[in-house]
Amino acid sequence: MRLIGEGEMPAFGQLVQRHHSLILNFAYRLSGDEEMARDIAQDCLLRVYRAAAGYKPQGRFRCYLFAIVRNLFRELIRKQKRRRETPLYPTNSASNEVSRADSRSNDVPTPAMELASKRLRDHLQKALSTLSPEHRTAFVLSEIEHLSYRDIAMICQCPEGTIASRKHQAIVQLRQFLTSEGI
Amino acid sequence: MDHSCEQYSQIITRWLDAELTTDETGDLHAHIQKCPTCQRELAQQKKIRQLWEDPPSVTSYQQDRDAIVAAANKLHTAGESDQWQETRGGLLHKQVLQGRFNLFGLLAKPKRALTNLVTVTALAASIFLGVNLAGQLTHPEIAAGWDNASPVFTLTEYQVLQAGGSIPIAEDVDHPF
Repeated sequence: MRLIGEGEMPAFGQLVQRHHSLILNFAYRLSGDEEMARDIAQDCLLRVYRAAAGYKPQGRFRCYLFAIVRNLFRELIRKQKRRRETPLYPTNSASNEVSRADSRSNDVPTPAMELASKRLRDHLQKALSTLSPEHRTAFVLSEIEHLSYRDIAMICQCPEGTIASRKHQAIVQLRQFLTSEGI
Repeated sequence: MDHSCEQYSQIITRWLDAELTTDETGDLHAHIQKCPTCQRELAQQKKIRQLWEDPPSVTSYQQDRDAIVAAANKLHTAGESDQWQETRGGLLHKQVLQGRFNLFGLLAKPKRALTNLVTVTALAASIFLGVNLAGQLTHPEIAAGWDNASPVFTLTEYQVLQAGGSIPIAEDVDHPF
Protein backbone atom coordinates (compact mmCIF):
# COMPACT_ATOMS: atom_id res chain seq x y z
CA MET A 1 0.00 0.00 0.00
CA ARG A 2 2.91 2.34 0.76
CA LEU A 3 4.31 1.76 -2.75
CA ILE A 4 0.89 2.34 -4.30
CA GLY A 5 0.59 5.54 -2.30
CA GLU A 6 3.88 6.64 -3.81
CA GLY A 7 2.47 6.10 -7.29
CA GLU A 8 4.00 2.69 -8.05
CA MET A 9 1.54 1.35 -10.59
CA PRO A 10 3.09 -2.17 -10.78
CA ALA A 11 2.37 -2.56 -7.05
CA PHE A 12 -1.27 -1.70 -7.68
CA GLY A 13 -1.34 -4.20 -10.55
CA GLN A 14 -0.13 -6.90 -8.16
CA LEU A 15 -2.76 -5.98 -5.60
CA VAL A 16 -5.48 -6.22 -8.24
CA GLN A 17 -4.22 -9.62 -9.40
CA ARG A 18 -4.13 -10.92 -5.86
CA HIS A 19 -7.43 -9.60 -4.48
CA HIS A 20 -9.82 -9.09 -7.39
CA SER A 21 -11.33 -12.56 -7.17
CA LEU A 22 -11.85 -12.26 -3.41
CA ILE A 23 -13.56 -8.89 -3.74
CA LEU A 24 -15.61 -9.92 -6.76
CA ASN A 25 -16.96 -13.04 -5.12
CA PHE A 26 -17.82 -11.31 -1.87
CA ALA A 27 -19.66 -8.62 -3.84
CA TYR A 28 -21.45 -11.33 -5.85
CA ARG A 29 -22.59 -13.18 -2.74
CA LEU A 30 -23.91 -9.96 -1.26
CA SER A 31 -25.64 -8.62 -4.35
CA GLY A 32 -26.57 -11.82 -6.15
CA ASP A 33 -25.90 -10.03 -9.42
CA GLU A 34 -22.77 -10.69 -11.46
CA GLU A 35 -22.64 -7.39 -13.33
CA MET A 36 -23.21 -5.42 -10.16
CA ALA A 37 -20.52 -7.45 -8.42
CA ARG A 38 -18.04 -6.58 -11.18
CA ASP A 39 -18.88 -2.88 -10.82
CA ILE A 40 -18.51 -3.05 -7.04
CA ALA A 41 -15.17 -4.85 -7.37
CA GLN A 42 -13.87 -2.16 -9.73
CA ASP A 43 -15.09 0.69 -7.50
CA CYS A 44 -13.60 -1.00 -4.46
CA LEU A 45 -10.14 -1.36 -6.00
CA LEU A 46 -10.15 2.20 -7.31
CA ARG A 47 -11.08 3.42 -3.84
CA VAL A 48 -8.17 1.44 -2.46
CA TYR A 49 -5.92 3.12 -5.02
CA ARG A 50 -7.13 6.61 -4.15
CA ALA A 51 -6.84 5.99 -0.42
CA ALA A 52 -3.42 4.31 -0.59
CA ALA A 53 -1.42 7.42 0.31
CA GLY A 54 -3.30 7.88 3.58
CA TYR A 55 -3.74 4.18 4.39
CA LYS A 56 -2.97 3.20 7.99
CA PRO A 57 -2.97 -0.53 8.70
CA GLN A 58 -5.65 -1.40 11.25
CA GLY A 59 -6.37 -5.12 11.34
CA ARG A 60 -6.21 -7.44 8.40
CA PHE A 61 -6.06 -6.09 4.88
CA ARG A 62 -8.81 -8.49 3.77
CA CYS A 63 -11.11 -6.94 6.36
CA TYR A 64 -10.33 -3.50 4.96
CA LEU A 65 -11.35 -4.69 1.49
CA PHE A 66 -14.51 -6.37 2.77
CA ALA A 67 -15.48 -3.19 4.63
CA ILE A 68 -15.20 -1.18 1.41
CA VAL A 69 -17.28 -3.72 -0.51
CA ARG A 70 -19.90 -3.76 2.23
CA ASN A 71 -20.10 0.04 2.20
CA LEU A 72 -20.41 0.15 -1.59
CA PHE A 73 -23.15 -2.46 -1.45
CA ARG A 74 -25.03 -0.49 1.22
CA GLU A 75 -24.75 2.65 -0.90
CA LEU A 76 -26.26 0.78 -3.85
CA ILE A 77 -29.12 -0.52 -1.73
CA ARG A 78 -29.83 3.00 -0.45
CA LYS A 79 -29.81 4.40 -3.99
CA GLN A 80 -32.15 1.68 -5.16
CA LYS A 81 -34.51 2.28 -2.26
CA ARG A 82 -34.57 5.98 -3.10
CA ARG A 83 -35.39 5.22 -6.71
CA ARG A 84 -38.00 2.66 -5.58
CA GLU A 85 -36.64 0.08 -7.89
CA THR A 86 -36.96 -3.65 -7.43
CA PRO A 87 -34.72 -4.95 -4.66
CA LEU A 88 -31.22 -6.21 -5.32
CA TYR A 89 -31.86 -9.82 -5.75
CA PRO A 90 -30.34 -12.45 -7.81
CA THR A 91 -30.69 -12.53 -11.47
CA ASN A 92 -29.76 -15.97 -12.58
CA SER A 93 -26.31 -15.33 -13.86
CA ALA A 94 -25.74 -18.75 -15.39
CA SER A 95 -26.61 -17.56 -18.88
CA ASN A 96 -24.30 -14.57 -18.43
CA GLU A 97 -21.51 -16.87 -17.40
CA VAL A 98 -21.94 -19.02 -20.48
CA SER A 99 -21.88 -16.04 -22.85
CA ARG A 100 -18.87 -14.63 -21.04
CA ALA A 101 -17.16 -17.99 -21.24
CA ASP A 102 -17.34 -17.78 -25.02
CA SER A 103 -15.75 -14.39 -25.18
CA ARG A 104 -13.20 -14.85 -22.42
CA SER A 105 -11.46 -18.14 -22.77
CA ASN A 106 -9.12 -17.73 -19.76
CA ASP A 107 -9.95 -18.97 -16.24
CA VAL A 108 -13.24 -20.59 -17.30
CA PRO A 109 -14.25 -23.69 -15.33
CA THR A 110 -14.86 -26.84 -17.31
CA PRO A 111 -18.45 -27.59 -18.39
CA ALA A 112 -18.47 -30.80 -16.34
CA MET A 113 -17.62 -28.91 -13.16
CA GLU A 114 -20.24 -26.31 -13.95
CA LEU A 115 -22.98 -28.84 -14.49
CA ALA A 116 -22.14 -30.77 -11.35
CA SER A 117 -22.51 -27.86 -9.00
CA LYS A 118 -24.70 -25.41 -10.91
CA ARG A 119 -28.04 -26.52 -9.50
CA LEU A 120 -26.85 -26.46 -5.91
CA ARG A 121 -25.11 -23.11 -6.30
CA ASP A 122 -28.24 -21.61 -7.81
CA HIS A 123 -30.26 -22.79 -4.85
CA LEU A 124 -27.68 -21.46 -2.42
CA GLN A 125 -27.59 -18.05 -4.08
CA LYS A 126 -31.37 -17.98 -4.03
CA ALA A 127 -31.30 -18.93 -0.35
CA LEU A 128 -28.82 -16.12 0.38
CA SER A 129 -31.14 -13.65 -1.31
CA THR A 130 -33.86 -14.42 1.20
CA LEU A 131 -31.71 -12.96 3.99
CA SER A 132 -31.58 -9.28 4.86
CA PRO A 133 -28.37 -7.50 3.76
CA GLU A 134 -27.11 -7.44 7.37
CA HIS A 135 -27.72 -11.15 7.93
CA ARG A 136 -26.29 -12.00 4.52
CA THR A 137 -23.14 -10.01 5.23
CA ALA A 138 -22.63 -11.70 8.59
CA PHE A 139 -23.28 -15.14 7.13
CA VAL A 140 -21.03 -14.76 4.09
CA LEU A 141 -18.14 -13.27 6.05
CA SER A 142 -18.36 -15.94 8.71
CA GLU A 143 -19.27 -19.06 6.76
CA ILE A 144 -17.59 -18.47 3.43
CA GLU A 145 -14.76 -16.06 4.19
CA HIS A 146 -14.12 -17.68 7.59
CA LEU A 147 -13.66 -14.43 9.46
CA SER A 148 -13.99 -14.26 13.24
CA TYR A 149 -16.95 -12.48 14.84
CA ARG A 150 -14.50 -9.84 15.99
CA ASP A 151 -13.34 -9.09 12.44
CA ILE A 152 -16.91 -9.10 11.15
CA ALA A 153 -17.95 -6.74 13.95
CA MET A 154 -15.19 -4.36 12.88
CA ILE A 155 -16.31 -4.51 9.26
CA CYS A 156 -19.99 -4.06 10.10
CA GLN A 157 -19.31 -1.57 12.90
CA CYS A 158 -21.50 -3.32 15.44
CA PRO A 159 -20.97 -5.44 18.58
CA GLU A 160 -19.76 -9.05 18.34
CA GLY A 161 -22.96 -10.21 20.04
CA THR A 162 -24.98 -8.71 17.21
CA ILE A 163 -22.90 -10.63 14.69
CA ALA A 164 -23.37 -13.89 16.63
CA SER A 165 -27.10 -13.29 16.69
CA ARG A 166 -27.26 -12.43 12.96
CA LYS A 167 -25.24 -15.48 12.06
CA HIS A 168 -27.54 -17.77 14.03
CA GLN A 169 -30.68 -16.20 12.58
CA ALA A 170 -29.21 -16.55 9.10
CA ILE A 171 -28.55 -20.26 9.68
CA VAL A 172 -32.12 -20.77 10.89
CA GLN A 173 -33.62 -18.93 7.89
CA LEU A 174 -31.40 -20.69 5.39
CA ARG A 175 -32.30 -24.04 6.87
CA GLN A 176 -36.01 -23.26 6.57
CA PHE A 177 -35.64 -22.10 2.98
CA LEU A 178 -33.46 -24.97 1.82
CA THR A 179 -35.72 -27.52 3.51
CA SER A 180 -38.71 -26.02 1.70
CA GLU A 181 -36.75 -26.34 -1.56
CA GLY A 182 -36.17 -30.01 -0.84
CA ILE A 183 -32.42 -29.75 -0.24
CA MET B 1 -25.11 -22.65 33.50
CA ASP B 2 -28.65 -23.55 32.66
CA HIS B 3 -29.89 -22.86 29.15
CA SER B 4 -32.94 -23.86 27.19
CA CYS B 5 -32.48 -25.87 23.99
CA GLU B 6 -33.25 -22.71 21.99
CA GLN B 7 -30.35 -20.97 23.67
CA TYR B 8 -28.15 -24.00 23.05
CA SER B 9 -29.01 -23.72 19.38
CA GLN B 10 -27.28 -20.32 19.33
CA ILE B 11 -24.41 -21.71 21.37
CA ILE B 12 -24.01 -24.53 18.84
CA THR B 13 -23.69 -21.90 16.07
CA ARG B 14 -20.97 -20.12 18.03
CA TRP B 15 -19.22 -23.41 18.78
CA LEU B 16 -19.15 -24.39 15.10
CA ASP B 17 -17.67 -20.94 14.41
CA ALA B 18 -15.00 -21.59 17.06
CA GLU B 19 -16.22 -18.66 19.13
CA LEU B 20 -16.80 -20.40 22.47
CA THR B 21 -14.58 -20.27 25.54
CA THR B 22 -13.30 -23.53 27.01
CA ASP B 23 -15.86 -23.39 29.83
CA GLU B 24 -18.74 -22.76 27.42
CA THR B 25 -17.56 -25.62 25.22
CA GLY B 26 -17.46 -28.00 28.18
CA ASP B 27 -20.96 -26.99 29.20
CA LEU B 28 -22.26 -27.48 25.65
CA HIS B 29 -20.70 -30.93 25.31
CA ALA B 30 -22.19 -32.01 28.63
CA HIS B 31 -25.63 -30.85 27.49
CA ILE B 32 -25.49 -32.40 24.04
CA GLN B 33 -24.59 -35.79 25.42
CA LYS B 34 -27.88 -35.97 27.27
CA CYS B 35 -30.16 -33.98 24.92
CA PRO B 36 -31.44 -35.61 21.69
CA THR B 37 -32.99 -32.31 20.51
CA CYS B 38 -29.64 -30.52 20.59
CA GLN B 39 -27.95 -33.52 18.99
CA ARG B 40 -30.34 -33.16 16.04
CA GLU B 41 -29.79 -29.40 16.01
CA LEU B 42 -26.03 -29.91 15.84
CA ALA B 43 -26.38 -32.43 13.00
CA GLN B 44 -28.66 -30.06 11.02
CA GLN B 45 -26.38 -27.07 11.47
CA LYS B 46 -23.39 -29.13 10.31
CA LYS B 47 -25.38 -30.25 7.25
CA ILE B 48 -26.31 -26.68 6.32
CA ARG B 49 -22.70 -25.57 6.64
CA GLN B 50 -21.45 -28.39 4.44
CA LEU B 51 -23.55 -27.01 1.59
CA TRP B 52 -21.44 -23.86 1.60
CA GLU B 53 -18.15 -25.63 1.08
CA ASP B 54 -18.62 -24.93 -2.65
CA PRO B 55 -20.29 -21.50 -2.49
CA PRO B 56 -21.80 -19.57 -5.42
CA SER B 57 -19.00 -17.80 -7.23
CA VAL B 58 -18.07 -15.87 -10.35
CA THR B 59 -14.84 -15.91 -12.30
CA SER B 60 -12.35 -13.09 -12.09
CA TYR B 61 -11.22 -12.33 -15.64
CA GLN B 62 -7.86 -10.89 -16.64
CA GLN B 63 -9.75 -8.46 -18.87
CA ASP B 64 -11.52 -6.96 -15.83
CA ARG B 65 -8.31 -6.74 -13.85
CA ASP B 66 -6.56 -4.97 -16.73
CA ALA B 67 -9.45 -2.49 -17.01
CA ILE B 68 -9.13 -1.62 -13.31
CA VAL B 69 -5.40 -1.01 -13.59
CA ALA B 70 -6.00 1.13 -16.70
CA ALA B 71 -8.59 3.20 -14.82
CA ALA B 72 -6.14 3.68 -11.95
CA ASN B 73 -3.49 4.73 -14.47
CA LYS B 74 -5.80 7.49 -15.67
CA LEU B 75 -6.29 8.63 -12.09
CA HIS B 76 -2.54 8.52 -11.61
CA THR B 77 -1.94 10.78 -14.61
CA ALA B 78 -4.62 13.23 -13.47
CA GLY B 79 -3.15 13.12 -9.96
CA GLU B 80 0.31 14.06 -11.25
CA SER B 81 -1.17 17.13 -12.91
CA ASP B 82 -2.83 18.19 -9.64
CA GLN B 83 0.40 17.59 -7.77
CA TRP B 84 2.32 19.77 -10.22
CA GLN B 85 -0.08 22.61 -9.56
CA GLU B 86 0.02 22.07 -5.81
CA THR B 87 3.80 22.37 -5.60
CA ARG B 88 3.62 25.74 -7.29
CA GLY B 89 0.77 27.04 -5.19
CA GLY B 90 -1.48 26.83 -8.21
CA LEU B 91 -4.15 24.79 -6.54
CA LEU B 92 -5.26 27.61 -4.24
CA HIS B 93 -5.68 29.90 -7.19
CA LYS B 94 -7.61 27.23 -9.05
CA GLN B 95 -9.85 26.54 -6.05
CA VAL B 96 -10.63 30.23 -5.50
CA LEU B 97 -11.48 30.68 -9.16
CA GLN B 98 -13.77 27.67 -9.08
CA GLY B 99 -15.42 28.87 -5.86
CA ARG B 100 -14.51 25.75 -3.92
CA PHE B 101 -11.86 27.13 -1.60
CA ASN B 102 -11.99 25.40 1.79
CA LEU B 103 -9.90 26.93 4.56
CA PHE B 104 -10.24 23.92 6.88
CA GLY B 105 -9.29 21.54 4.10
CA LEU B 106 -6.26 23.68 3.43
CA LEU B 107 -5.22 23.73 7.08
CA ALA B 108 -5.62 19.97 7.25
CA LYS B 109 -2.72 19.66 4.80
CA PRO B 110 0.13 21.65 6.37
CA LYS B 111 2.56 21.10 3.49
CA ARG B 112 0.16 22.51 0.95
CA ALA B 113 -0.89 25.31 3.33
CA LEU B 114 2.76 26.35 3.78
CA THR B 115 3.36 26.39 0.01
CA ASN B 116 0.30 28.52 -0.55
CA LEU B 117 1.18 30.82 2.34
CA VAL B 118 4.63 31.46 0.87
CA THR B 119 3.11 32.14 -2.55
CA VAL B 120 0.48 34.51 -1.20
CA THR B 121 3.03 36.35 0.98
CA ALA B 122 5.46 36.75 -1.91
CA LEU B 123 2.66 38.04 -4.12
CA ALA B 124 1.44 40.52 -1.47
CA ALA B 125 5.01 41.72 -0.81
CA SER B 126 5.60 42.26 -4.52
CA ILE B 127 2.42 44.29 -4.88
CA PHE B 128 3.23 46.35 -1.76
CA LEU B 129 6.77 47.14 -2.88
CA GLY B 130 5.66 47.84 -6.43
CA VAL B 131 3.01 50.34 -5.36
CA ASN B 132 5.36 52.07 -2.91
CA LEU B 133 8.28 52.32 -5.30
CA ALA B 134 6.02 53.61 -8.03
CA GLY B 135 4.81 56.30 -5.60
CA GLN B 136 8.41 57.28 -4.76
CA LEU B 137 9.47 57.51 -8.40
CA THR B 138 6.71 59.97 -9.20
CA HIS B 139 8.06 62.45 -6.64
CA PRO B 140 10.36 64.87 -8.55
CA GLU B 141 12.91 65.22 -5.70
CA ILE B 142 13.39 61.49 -5.36
CA ALA B 143 13.30 60.79 -9.08
CA ALA B 144 16.14 63.25 -9.60
CA GLY B 145 18.47 61.49 -7.17
CA TRP B 146 17.46 57.96 -8.12
CA ASP B 147 20.57 57.17 -10.17
CA ASN B 148 22.91 57.55 -7.18
CA ALA B 149 20.89 55.98 -4.42
CA SER B 150 19.41 52.68 -3.48
CA PRO B 151 15.61 52.66 -3.06
CA VAL B 152 15.98 52.17 0.70
CA PHE B 153 18.44 55.06 1.10
CA THR B 154 16.31 57.29 -1.08
CA LEU B 155 13.27 56.55 1.00
CA THR B 156 15.12 57.31 4.25
CA GLU B 157 16.60 60.47 2.85
CA TYR B 158 13.18 61.52 1.63
CA GLN B 159 11.68 60.99 5.07
CA VAL B 160 14.50 62.94 6.77
CA LEU B 161 14.16 65.83 4.36
CA GLN B 162 10.41 65.82 4.74
CA ALA B 163 10.64 65.83 8.56
CA GLY B 164 13.11 68.77 8.41
CA GLY B 165 10.75 70.82 6.26
CA SER B 166 12.98 70.78 3.15
CA ILE B 167 10.37 68.86 1.28
CA PRO B 168 6.77 69.95 1.63
CA ILE B 169 4.33 67.37 3.01
CA ALA B 170 1.65 65.98 0.73
CA GLU B 171 -0.97 68.65 1.44
CA ASP B 172 1.60 71.39 0.75
CA VAL B 173 2.43 69.97 -2.64
CA ASP B 174 -1.07 70.70 -3.81
CA HIS B 175 -1.31 73.96 -1.85
CA PRO B 176 2.28 75.17 -1.38
CA PHE B 177 1.24 78.63 -0.15
